[in-house]
Amino acid sequence: MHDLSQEDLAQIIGVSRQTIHFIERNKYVPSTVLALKLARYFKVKVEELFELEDTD
Amino acid sequence: MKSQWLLPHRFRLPGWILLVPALVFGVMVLHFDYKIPGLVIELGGSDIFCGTQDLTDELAFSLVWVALIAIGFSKERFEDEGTRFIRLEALIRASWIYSILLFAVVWTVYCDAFLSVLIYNLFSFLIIYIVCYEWMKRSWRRQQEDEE
Repeated sequence: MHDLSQEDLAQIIGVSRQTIHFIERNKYVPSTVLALKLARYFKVKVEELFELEDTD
Repeated sequence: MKSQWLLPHRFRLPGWILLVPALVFGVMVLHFDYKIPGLVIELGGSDIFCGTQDLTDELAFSLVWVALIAIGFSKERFEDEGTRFIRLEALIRASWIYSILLFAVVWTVYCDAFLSVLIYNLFSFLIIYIVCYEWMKRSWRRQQEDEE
């Protein structure tokens, strides 16, 4: 979607690279605020970045 | 959402530096009856106060407690919701471990030994929490390094 490193994205959004890494790996579910920040940065809807899983 | 209940990051290192001498001091007070001269105050007799009181043990308790709080509840260099998630998980794990240990102690230690255990028990929750938190933090970092 964007040519962006985890480090760059983490700095732009204001979280640690570790947090971005674990969101990407599906090991951490971000807060609503962080999900909205990510969606705003990528100019997409939150649902395009995150979706409910069968177990949710 | 930022937590208002964490100390600034600069308190963390002094906490670790204070912890070692504070623990040595505490062990000396508890097991070798060490007393700092001149720390005796007269409180008068009542149900709460027992006449003359030496404040060495109060000082030892306070130093250990302040060190543990500074270590356990100072912000990380970069505190974000990821670290808050680890803190919460560590608190939950520490609560379970503490409860199991306390339950075991209540049923297996009696008489004077129980009172000694209770003194250590004053600090055990914070110590267990710090161990859980540091362990989880390192485990997350290792996982991240392995996956990259």
